[in-house]
Amino acid sequence: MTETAVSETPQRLVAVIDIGATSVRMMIAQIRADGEVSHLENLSQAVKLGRDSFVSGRIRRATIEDCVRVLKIFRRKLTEYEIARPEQVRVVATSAVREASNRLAFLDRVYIATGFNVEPFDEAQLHRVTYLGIRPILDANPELLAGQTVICEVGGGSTETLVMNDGRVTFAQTWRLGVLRLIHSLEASDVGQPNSRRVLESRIAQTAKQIAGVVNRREPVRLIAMGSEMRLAVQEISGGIEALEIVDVARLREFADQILRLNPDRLVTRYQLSIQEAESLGPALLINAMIARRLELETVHVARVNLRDGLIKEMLAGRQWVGNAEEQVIDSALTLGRRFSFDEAHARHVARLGVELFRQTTALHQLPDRWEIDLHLAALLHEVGLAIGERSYHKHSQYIIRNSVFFGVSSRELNLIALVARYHRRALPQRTHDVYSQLDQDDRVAVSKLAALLRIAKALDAGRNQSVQEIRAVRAGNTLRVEAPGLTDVSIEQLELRRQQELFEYVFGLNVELSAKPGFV
Amino acid sequence: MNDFSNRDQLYFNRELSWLEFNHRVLGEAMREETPLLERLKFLAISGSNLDEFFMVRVGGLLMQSTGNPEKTGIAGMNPDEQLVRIRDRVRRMVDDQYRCLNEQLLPGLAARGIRRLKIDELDHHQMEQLRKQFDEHLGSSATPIALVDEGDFPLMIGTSLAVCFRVQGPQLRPSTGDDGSASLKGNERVVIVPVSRGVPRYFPLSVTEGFGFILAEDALIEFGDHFLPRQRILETAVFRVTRNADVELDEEAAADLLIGMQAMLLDRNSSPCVRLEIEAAASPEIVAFLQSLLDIGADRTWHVPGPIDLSACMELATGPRLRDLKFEPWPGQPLAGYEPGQDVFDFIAEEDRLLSHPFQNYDPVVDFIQAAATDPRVIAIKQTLYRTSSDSQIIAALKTAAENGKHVTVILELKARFDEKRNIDWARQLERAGVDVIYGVRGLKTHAKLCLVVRREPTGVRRYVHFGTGNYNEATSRLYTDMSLLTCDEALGNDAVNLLNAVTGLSSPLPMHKLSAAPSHLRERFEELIDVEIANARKGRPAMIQAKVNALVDETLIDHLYRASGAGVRIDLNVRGICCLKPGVAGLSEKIRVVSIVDRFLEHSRLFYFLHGGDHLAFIASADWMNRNLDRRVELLVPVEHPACSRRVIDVLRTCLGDNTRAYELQPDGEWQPLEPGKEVRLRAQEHLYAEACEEAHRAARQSREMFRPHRASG
Repeated sequence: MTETAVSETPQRLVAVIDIGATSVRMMIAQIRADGEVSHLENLSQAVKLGRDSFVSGRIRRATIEDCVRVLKIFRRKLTEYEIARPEQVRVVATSAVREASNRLAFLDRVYIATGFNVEPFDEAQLHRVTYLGIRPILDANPELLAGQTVICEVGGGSTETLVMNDGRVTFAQTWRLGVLRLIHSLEASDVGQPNSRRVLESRIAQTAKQIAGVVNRREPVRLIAMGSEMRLAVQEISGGIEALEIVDVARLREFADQILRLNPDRLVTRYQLSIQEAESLGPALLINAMIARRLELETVHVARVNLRDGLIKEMLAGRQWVGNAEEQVIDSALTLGRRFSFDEAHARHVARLGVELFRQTTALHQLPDRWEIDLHLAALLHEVGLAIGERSYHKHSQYIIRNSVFFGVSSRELNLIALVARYHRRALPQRTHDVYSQLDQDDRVAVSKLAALLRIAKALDAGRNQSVQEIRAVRAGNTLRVEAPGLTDVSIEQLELRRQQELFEYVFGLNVELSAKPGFV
Repeated sequence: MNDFSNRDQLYFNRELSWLEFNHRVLGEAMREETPLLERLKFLAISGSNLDEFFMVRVGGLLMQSTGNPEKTGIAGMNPDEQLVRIRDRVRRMVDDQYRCLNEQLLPGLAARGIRRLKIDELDHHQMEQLRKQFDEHLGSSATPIALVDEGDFPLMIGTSLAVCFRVQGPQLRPSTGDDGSASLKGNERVVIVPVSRGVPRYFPLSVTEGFGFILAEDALIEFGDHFLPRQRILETAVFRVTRNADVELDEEAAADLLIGMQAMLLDRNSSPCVRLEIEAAASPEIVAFLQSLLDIGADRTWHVPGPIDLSACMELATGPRLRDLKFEPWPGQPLAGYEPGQDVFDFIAEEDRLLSHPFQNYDPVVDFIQAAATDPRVIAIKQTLYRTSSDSQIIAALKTAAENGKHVTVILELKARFDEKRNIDWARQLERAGVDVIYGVRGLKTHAKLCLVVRREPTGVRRYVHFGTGNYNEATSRLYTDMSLLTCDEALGNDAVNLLNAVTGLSSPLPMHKLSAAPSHLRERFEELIDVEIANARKGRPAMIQAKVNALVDETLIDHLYRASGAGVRIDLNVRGICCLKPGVAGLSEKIRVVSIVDRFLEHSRLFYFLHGGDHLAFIASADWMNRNLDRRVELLVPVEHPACSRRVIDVLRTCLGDNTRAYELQPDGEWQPLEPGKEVRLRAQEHLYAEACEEAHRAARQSREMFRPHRASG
């Protein structure tokens, strides 16, 4: 056996760390050549981020240092597996960090002490990753894809719900009903022990009612619950440890009641929980049970997946949008466009050409694959501003995109997409432009590059008749030659291209030439 | 119907039960068909066991008797009541020990030429030999301690043997002056010369035939004037002090565990005396003097009719090379199918492997760790160490591994009683080699025995684990019955990783899928397993529990077993040592049978079998059924699932339960009745298991001879 045999191993090792409200958790997984993911290690350490953040709005220094301590330990574990490259590790933080007023100080401190670049996840990202995590379970159980499904995860700060119809996400919402928030509001309101249960239930009932309100009650619905508490419950109630289990709502309620009556210290030893997890267990189960009851269900599905599974899925694909999820977000962009009566044929065509250009010029733009979807969405929606008025419609487009909600697209990403759409015409991106100037350099460059490509793509459909079907872009010296095979006359497009290539020249230092190439495609 | 309202009547006292175990060990010293030197070993073991019992159990009870005099043990006795009962029982035991030595073993050995010589029978040549040995071992190292008055009594180092001289003559230490306060009359004084540890107890002398020896204390007395110039020796007495060793570290208060442990070890040398043994011939004056010096009453003084410290007989028993006075050797057999030099990882990957030590040798386990140390694919080794041998190949391998750049983590239990010092040395050595050493877990002793090897293979990272019932100790692996499981089962690997991450503080404990660990879940797991049998018995289905442990003390578990018996579950237990459960009591435990084996190997494996509605679950474990194992230690219960391995565990358990030649059965009144084959087939479990191991190895060797195996170029 030789050393090289070792380095040739085809499997990939990746790690994801999730900084949550009650704990910091890490999953190390290996991805085999055939794409199969297996967990190597799961680590979890209790932290009190949620307790700080949801009560006082900021994370205390001691808690920050506690997180740093845990992350340093995790870093050591990673060196054991020689997981060192940034693309092998992803660290995300959820609501407890996102909502803290000193989140920047937190992120900086963690970066300085551990080298981890923490992504604070917003609701949309959470939805997307949740969806990615659960998708394999849905695919393995196709009967769950038909009809209406509510996917629900109760967290420390909030409850996430995805509503799916026939396999497509039609609604995603984050409710400010979180276990820790609930516990703290009870503590703060100082209701006595006998009343606390009543107050707890009435708070949950409000949100459960709202959740039921977004479901089409004329159609049958099923509920798939996620979260460690539900997994524990199903294991205790029926012994089930499969990826997907079904639990009786009545028994769930019974179990929740039983847990709520027990002293958390007892739960710590019985179920090997941290004290915070022990305190959260009962309320989390109660929320799930009450939502199920509100949806008039007799059973709940419980999926054995978590945020980290979804994150691994994303890393596996090397980009954010994987398979069906990409279709989901494009669907929601088209829905938005239609609402503003956009020229759908033109928009789709520009998008198609833009993506084509993006793929053919990777050597030139050198952007990671994940930007492709941003260009795609910006191209689809670049003209939605026309619904408001022709004058400066690109700015209206920016505004509309910026203020829309797309399933799974983070607000940061939405901002970038909106900027690309905005810069598809008129003024070039400039430092004096407010939103643009606030971006960091990487994002600024990417926005300029994508906008430059979008301008070319748009010029290629200047006739709005989708005549340019195929393109071949080749670099020749200082020129990017774009050929349109099968066409004889591309003069309109050439004219438009000359007007629109300034940004391209500015960004890439190249001219663009379009030539027709008669003959068969 | 018995009255069980008085809970005290439901259990045997643990100390008295332990003493009965030691009596069974002594029984082996009295067994006539056993070779003489082996009998001497059993006597030595019964002696060192008793020493430890005084240091730990009696020491603990004495402290309780002053600190918490009303606290009652499992059978309802308070410390003083227990001490009285212990004293009575030990008196009979010491009588038995010396009767065995003086009337059976020494005469028997003398008949075979192994003889204790008296000074006055030595010839000139022998005397010279003795003088030489004395100079080498005692003359320079023994330091006399002169005592002038009682308040002068120094910290006599530890618990080694010493000779007390009453002498007359000029001051030995003129500088101290103040002669007026001497407690003995006139110019008499007392001088104590301790025999330091490490000095041989037996000085061999050449004799015309056989093997002659002089005891160290005899030599010391003979050459006493070496230490006592110008003194007239009036009287001598050999004695030994036993100190309380039930001193444990206050972990919360210790900032650095390593330093704290060292300080505690020093404390142990000066802790209160729990026992004074003194030769029976000593005068009442000298006894009284020592008693008052040591502040120890007559109730803790033992007049010993023979050489003090029977554990030293081990030295004699291992000395002469008289084959016929020893057991026929039973060298550990190779595991069938495993050949030294073969890739141990492939061997494990093929299927789970179970080893039954010492019948099968420990080589595959040592090879496993050694291979991991040098294998380029291995990235990490993590293992627990509780007690290990003095020239441990395992420690060497771990150091090599760290030097080879592997991530090596060792959870080394500094709190392993009586091995603390050795473990501190190991810790230092390992740290110097680059091993990440964790000194156990705060408040818990890490007693689980596992070694995890993480290996990056072409198909992915794979974890290999060794789980054992015994320590990573090559020396005891030849003397203790234990079991080893070598596996790369994914779920067991995951659980092992989780446990080690928790123990090393990398993660909070996460739920495990196959393993059960103390203190978090092991107790519940045993109770669950017993409950399943209870439920099945109540439904009229077959239900059975079989277990082999070293001790059964835990009250809650005993109650659970009583309930199971009540429900009709058949329960067969093999308990080596302490058993607080009362078996075969009508209305309480009539379905429970308890046996114990004492034979040439120390029974040590912890094995469990539950019928479980026909699933036939087999387990190996590091834990006994004691409160300390279930609540205050990190322990593991490992399911053995591979069909052949699981069958093997069950077979071994059945064999141990069926022994009728070296086994005793516990009676409802606490008596341990020796079993006889009677009309049944004679079964001696250890002999049977060894024969099986031989046969299996033999069969495998024959098979391999019948196969041609070509050498191939590697790669």
